[in-house]
Amino acid sequence: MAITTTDRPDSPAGRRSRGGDVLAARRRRSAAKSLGVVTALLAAFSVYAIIDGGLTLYLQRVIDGATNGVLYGMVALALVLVFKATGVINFAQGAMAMFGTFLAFTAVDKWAVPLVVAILIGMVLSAGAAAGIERVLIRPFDPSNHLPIIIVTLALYLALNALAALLWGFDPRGFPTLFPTGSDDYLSIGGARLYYTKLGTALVAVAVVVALHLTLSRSRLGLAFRCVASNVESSRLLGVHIGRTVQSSWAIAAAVGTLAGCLAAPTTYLDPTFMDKILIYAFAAATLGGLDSIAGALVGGVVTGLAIALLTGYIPWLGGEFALGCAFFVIIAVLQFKPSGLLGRRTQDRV
Amino acid sequence: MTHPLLELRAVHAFYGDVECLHGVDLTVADGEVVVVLGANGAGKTTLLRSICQLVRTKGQILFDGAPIGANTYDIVRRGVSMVPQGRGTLVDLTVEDNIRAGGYIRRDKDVESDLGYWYEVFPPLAQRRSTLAGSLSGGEQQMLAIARALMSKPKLLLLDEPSLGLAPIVVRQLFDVLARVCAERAVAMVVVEQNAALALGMAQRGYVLEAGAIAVTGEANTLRDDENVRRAYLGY
Amino acid sequence: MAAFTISEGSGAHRRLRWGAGLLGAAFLIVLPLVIPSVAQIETITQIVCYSVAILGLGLLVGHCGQISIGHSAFVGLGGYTTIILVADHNWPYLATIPVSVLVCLVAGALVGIPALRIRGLYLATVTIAVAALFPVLVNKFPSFTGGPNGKFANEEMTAPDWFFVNPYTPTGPPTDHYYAILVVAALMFLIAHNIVRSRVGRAMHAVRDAPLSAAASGIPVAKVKIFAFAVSAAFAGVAGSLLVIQLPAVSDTRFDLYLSIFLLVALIAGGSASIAGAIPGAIVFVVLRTYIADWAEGLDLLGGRPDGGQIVGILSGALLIAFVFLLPGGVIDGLKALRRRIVEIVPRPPRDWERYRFAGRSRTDQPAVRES
Repeated sequence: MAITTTDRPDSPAGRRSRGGDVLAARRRRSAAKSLGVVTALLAAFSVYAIIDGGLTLYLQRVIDGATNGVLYGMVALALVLVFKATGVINFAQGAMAMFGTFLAFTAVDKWAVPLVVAILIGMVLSAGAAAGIERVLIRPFDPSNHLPIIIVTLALYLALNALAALLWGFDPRGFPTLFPTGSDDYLSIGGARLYYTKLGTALVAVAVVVALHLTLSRSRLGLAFRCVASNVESSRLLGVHIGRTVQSSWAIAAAVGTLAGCLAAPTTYLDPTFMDKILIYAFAAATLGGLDSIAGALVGGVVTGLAIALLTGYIPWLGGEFALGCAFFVIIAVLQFKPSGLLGRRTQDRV
Repeated sequence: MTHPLLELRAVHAFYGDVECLHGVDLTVADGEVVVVLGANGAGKTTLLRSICQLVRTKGQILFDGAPIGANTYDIVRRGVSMVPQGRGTLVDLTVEDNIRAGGYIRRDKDVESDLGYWYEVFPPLAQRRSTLAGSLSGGEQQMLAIARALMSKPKLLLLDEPSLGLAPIVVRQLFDVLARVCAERAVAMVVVEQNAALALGMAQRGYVLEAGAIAVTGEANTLRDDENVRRAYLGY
Repeated sequence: MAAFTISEGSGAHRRLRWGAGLLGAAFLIVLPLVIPSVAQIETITQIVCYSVAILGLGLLVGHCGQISIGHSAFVGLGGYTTIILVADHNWPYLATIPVSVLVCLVAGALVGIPALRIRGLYLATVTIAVAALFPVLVNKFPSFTGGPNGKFANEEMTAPDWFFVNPYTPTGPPTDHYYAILVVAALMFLIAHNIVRSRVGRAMHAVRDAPLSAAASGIPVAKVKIFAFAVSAAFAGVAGSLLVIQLPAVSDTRFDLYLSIFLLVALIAGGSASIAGAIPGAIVFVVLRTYIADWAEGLDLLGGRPDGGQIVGILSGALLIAFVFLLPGGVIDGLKALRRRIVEIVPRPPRDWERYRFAGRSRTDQPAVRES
């Protein structure tokens, strides 16, 4: 004997199945709408920008903004992973990435290993360190009480920055890049230059996002991760090892962060504070993306990157240092209209 | 000597420093359905939670004749599955992913065919397989919770108030399916229920908890006829 | 076990509280007169200044459950308000404090307004942007703020002639500053104390402990959060003004993100949910930033390179983690536990409680059903 729900009138199967997806459809529609608004705003600004400074300059700024944005998106991705697993924003994410990048740098500089291997070493070491940090400093706390966990991440930020300064000093260092850096190594798009380093960085970032997305949606670890993010107690009853799942998301986040650091370091130079600004842009990106979506982090990163490049590029008064302010205002503006971010889902709490 | 599937010997349970169970003894045989009755706050939920080690316990809990262990994830792997109070729906996952998550501990290839089995048992779930589980109705979420709990192929199913918030007719259908599936698969059950009449109807034995200790125990029929139980829980 | 037990509100309890209060006040008043060194008086004055900022942060973090990593900006805002009014418009120092309060109230509310729509941790990310933005803004308007060069006032605050401190000794002017700052700080502590005990204070606690239940009980959660944020910013602004009274010079580097984080360190160390916790917190703050920094500099770990800041950073991180793990209530909690060893204060039962003593015992004929 099969069972049917009787707590609502029967309806034709076709309508039912469409009706059942109302929630998902609404989410898709609202995400599409907000992306549409952002695109329209960018397009309107673009028209002004092209008239103001010409197409080549405009394209150059778009390319710069988008390729920087992809990096912000990667760090935002790390933030989102930790946020979904632990429920807090890891303020030490940037410092951890900085530390990992320094480790990779040391591997290249002192032990003369090839760069790819060095970056992998940095990623593995920071993943291990993050797993340890999660086990020792984060797990003992009640996960529903956010304040102490945030304080611990701030403490880590302080301590890691200071430790890096102690070990490596404040002198900025050049970091080698994976991609050809010659002055001719670029693609020309309408006169604008897309350097191979930037292109490579962007491709690596996109590959990371795709790989993570597949891991989350297809693999066993991904299933466990999504269960834990949704309901810890239920996941425990399903046989999921909560600690190990959360630990692995910290580890993956740290590895992704370090990779982002290694990709960013060639252009920004390497010093103990080089990730601070990127971290703030990543906050903006993650917030824009809604803090709970992998794709949202990348989209948020690109939007942040474009907004900063275009606003500081075309509004002279804002120029240079004020990029931080732009990031800030972009966050505020978006959150005023979409409190859960561009791609985030609205959540409901129960008393 | 044959041993019961589950045996609790003088189990105490604690929330922080507060003791909520004061030495509970309970046994469940293979394939047996046991109902736990009791007033609000008597410790029924705590009893189920202590079997899964979701609370701190003292005393002996034996499963299949061996200590049950201290980690929930090992307990689940040994064949205990629990539907928590409020159904524990993974609201951000689709219906299908919820059922798959139920089979998280399994690594065999039959997961796909089992998925089909549950869609057959609960057709409403099949219709809404790609919907987010949070948008299901209460009855559908309870079906989902049962399917999820049984996906791990447990020997023992713990149900915490499966009738909570459901219309009586849905409850009856649900219990019918539950009884049939568990008999088919020889799954033992411990059911905590407020709907005592219904629960005693499907159970072989029952326990009455009062203020953290077993007050009455016996065959389901005997309990149904016991005057104290009748007045307190059956309401006639 | 306590050696003495006093009932709350009794004569002995009142005497104890007044006695402790008067003793504390006397200690604070006499303190600068017995210290011979200018530097030490200045250190103590700084402790008083920062305690006001930590107090304000405590109102937000400890009492309303919101986290702010942007308070350095409000301290800076207060400081710049005072120095601009004093240096460019010849205002008297103390008269600038109400202006600082107003400016910071408005700025705090503006930053807090996103809280109307933003929940939880989003606000923290907004505040970190505020902290990072402030030095940039300062450099953006050099005509007001002096930009990267900082800004100075030519004249220090001077005491009126009738004041008992002789201004012509080396310790005279710093002592004057100390007293002025102490009076303002005491006032701020009183205000904070009253806010916490008021209706709004209880609403803040409700928002901290159970925002949804608070909303369900009719508390306007967003308004309470904005109020807490604005008031907290105002306290930080007053602290900024006081810092300028103590040392009439400001620069953008004085109010960076690190100041925010160190304020949080101090708050947690002192005890975030306690008004009095701001005092040990401020002591921790100043000791970390001055004495430990000097000591670490002296260690010369890096062979000539400056390392004071780094040691302080590592120490603060470790200290913060240690406190969160071992003494989540901060120093003040430890002190209270210590006091309980000596004097136990038992709460007084509600008035007329005996009249209601038997009200709960009406259902005696339902043996099986037991409410818990």
